[in-house]
Amino acid sequence: MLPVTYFDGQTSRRYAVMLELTAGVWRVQADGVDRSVPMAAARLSEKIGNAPRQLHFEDGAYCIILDHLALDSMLHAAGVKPRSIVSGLEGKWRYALASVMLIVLFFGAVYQWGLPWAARAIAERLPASLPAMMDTQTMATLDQYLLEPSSVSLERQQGIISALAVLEPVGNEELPEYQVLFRSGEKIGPNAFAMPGGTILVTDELIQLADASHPNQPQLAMMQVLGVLAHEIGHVRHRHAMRQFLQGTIVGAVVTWYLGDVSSLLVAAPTALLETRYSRAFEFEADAFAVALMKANDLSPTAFADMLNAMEQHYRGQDAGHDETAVPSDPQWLDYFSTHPNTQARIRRLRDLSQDEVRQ
Amino acid sequence: MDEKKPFSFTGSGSEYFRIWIVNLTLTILTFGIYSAWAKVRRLQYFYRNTWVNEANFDYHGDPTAILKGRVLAVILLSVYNLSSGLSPIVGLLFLIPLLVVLPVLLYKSLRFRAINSSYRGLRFGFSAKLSEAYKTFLLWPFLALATMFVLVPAAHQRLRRFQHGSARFGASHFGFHAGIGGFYALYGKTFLLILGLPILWALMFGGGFATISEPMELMADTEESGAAMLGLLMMAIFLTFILGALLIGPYFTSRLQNLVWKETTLDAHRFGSDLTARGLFWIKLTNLLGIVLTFGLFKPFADIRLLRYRIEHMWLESAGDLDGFVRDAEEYVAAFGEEAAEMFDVDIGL
Repeated sequence: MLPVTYFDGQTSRRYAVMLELTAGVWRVQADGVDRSVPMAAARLSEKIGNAPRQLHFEDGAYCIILDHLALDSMLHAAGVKPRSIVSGLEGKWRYALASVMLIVLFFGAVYQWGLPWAARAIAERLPASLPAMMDTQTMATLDQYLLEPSSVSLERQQGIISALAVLEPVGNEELPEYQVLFRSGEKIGPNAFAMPGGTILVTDELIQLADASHPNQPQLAMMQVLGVLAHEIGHVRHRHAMRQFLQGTIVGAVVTWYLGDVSSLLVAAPTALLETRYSRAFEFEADAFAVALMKANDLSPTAFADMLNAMEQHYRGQDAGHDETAVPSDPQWLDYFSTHPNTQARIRRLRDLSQDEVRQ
Repeated sequence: MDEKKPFSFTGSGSEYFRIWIVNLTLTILTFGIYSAWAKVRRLQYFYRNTWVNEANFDYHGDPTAILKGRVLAVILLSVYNLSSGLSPIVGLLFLIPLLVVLPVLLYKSLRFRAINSSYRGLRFGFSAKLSEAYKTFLLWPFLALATMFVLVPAAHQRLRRFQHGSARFGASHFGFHAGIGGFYALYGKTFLLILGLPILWALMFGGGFATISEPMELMADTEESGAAMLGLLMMAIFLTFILGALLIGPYFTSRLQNLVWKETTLDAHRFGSDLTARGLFWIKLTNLLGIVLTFGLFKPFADIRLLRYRIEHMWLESAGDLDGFVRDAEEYVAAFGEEAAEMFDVDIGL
């Protein structure tokens, strides 16, 4: 005998009744109710946590059962075995722990392989007009707030563009479509950027830096600039900017959805952290592309490595002006969190790649 | 002689954690198919642990119906994505019919949820004219946009009136009596708070600006001190945003729930709610910290804490006997509306 609450399914009236299970028949009685229902004609809801269970009868009437232990022993005495697998899984912490591990593995795999794959697939299927539009927008914003018109002579600009144009692609692969724009970078310093639609932005400061490191060897300076541009063409070739944008958007959307409404801006931190690894891979990929392209055209990849070195010296020198504690080389663990891979590591790689050629 | 009967919630975080994690695992292992069953289990756990006047709620959604809805919604979404991938114009051609059917989907979704909810053995119900659905979900949002958001509070009031005013319990009708004025007052106060935050910030950071800018101007070139000022300003804006979301969000949510339930009736019975901005802020803040510090594992605990807080600050003011409600003819609705609406991330909410 188990005290339960009974509702008749017709009105909201509450009956306090006693429930019994004998010889395969449920019996509900007291409070003016007396009915017997064979077990086959009644449906007992599955156990979900410690929420009350419901014993439903076919006419919509049901009992609310709060005492799980008493119900279980009643069922046990009647020879009924609990058969819900899911309830069993939910009931034990060890299954919860196993689930946690499985889920961590799953999301690790999605992050490692699934997301990059999806971003690449989407990037390849986007209509060309969209990235082109993004480039136009980005350039308009940059021109308005950050950049000034280039002071590099048109001749020099043309020289660089035509030197790029005669580059032979590696193997039978074609070079992607790109467009080089020159601007005075002001606060950005010596740098170059590849945008989703194939626009490559080069700052005057980059060209000046190349010139300054080889004052009397215009050939070498040119080779350094070409090295950087080959790297940027590598970004364009592999749609890195678009993939980066897509991956960032997806990660951001998932984190926002998960954290809920409060925290749209706190999302920025985990998103940025999760993205770093991707951009490191992208830099290495673009480096490899640049090295292959330069080798195929009898240019020395070492020039590119030298250029990176010079750029790093430049930025480090700038930092040192403010920061006395600047260390000579980034420690490894810090490298893991930086958006760009440790430049020294990249330079080492570049030199290794160049030497392969010598050995062959 | 009204009697105040509080709502209570008996779910627990550690229990829900196991339900949640098993749901997630099975969903992953079945490539998403289990998600429909997971949803029913989750809602059943929530409903069955929600009590008022010595009885709990229950949820009866059919997982296979929900699965069908999800499959259809996924197909619809992929068709839309593929077509918009071909060209934006084709995508637009798909978007327009979608906008036209969206009010119907949302309406069906509200019906599905209501009809599959029960209390004391009686099902809830939801019925309204389709024209009302179009006015609520299409006309008013459009008007709100067209008037540069001046009509947003009015549109919000229509939405809540539609949601609460069209609902039934058994054969009894819910009523919604909040006028537009209450919504405008709430939005107005929230707007003032948003305006007030930067002023507060200026007061707090203003001193900092002054102390930093002076030596900067003496020592370094103006560009440098400008950059430092800009950095500080960005920092202030960032903090304003986060604190704004954390502080003003709970204010708005709590006052809205209180306003909406205070003006909701069922026959002669009334409802009430006394959430406070401070209480909600504390829960949201600690939830956020918990989720971040546990790499997301605190999420089910956070859900339960928020739900408990929101439910346990509500009550029913009964005007006499609560045993007299009777059942209404039940109707069957396909799950398509609800699930499709869910896929498009439209939160129907409490």
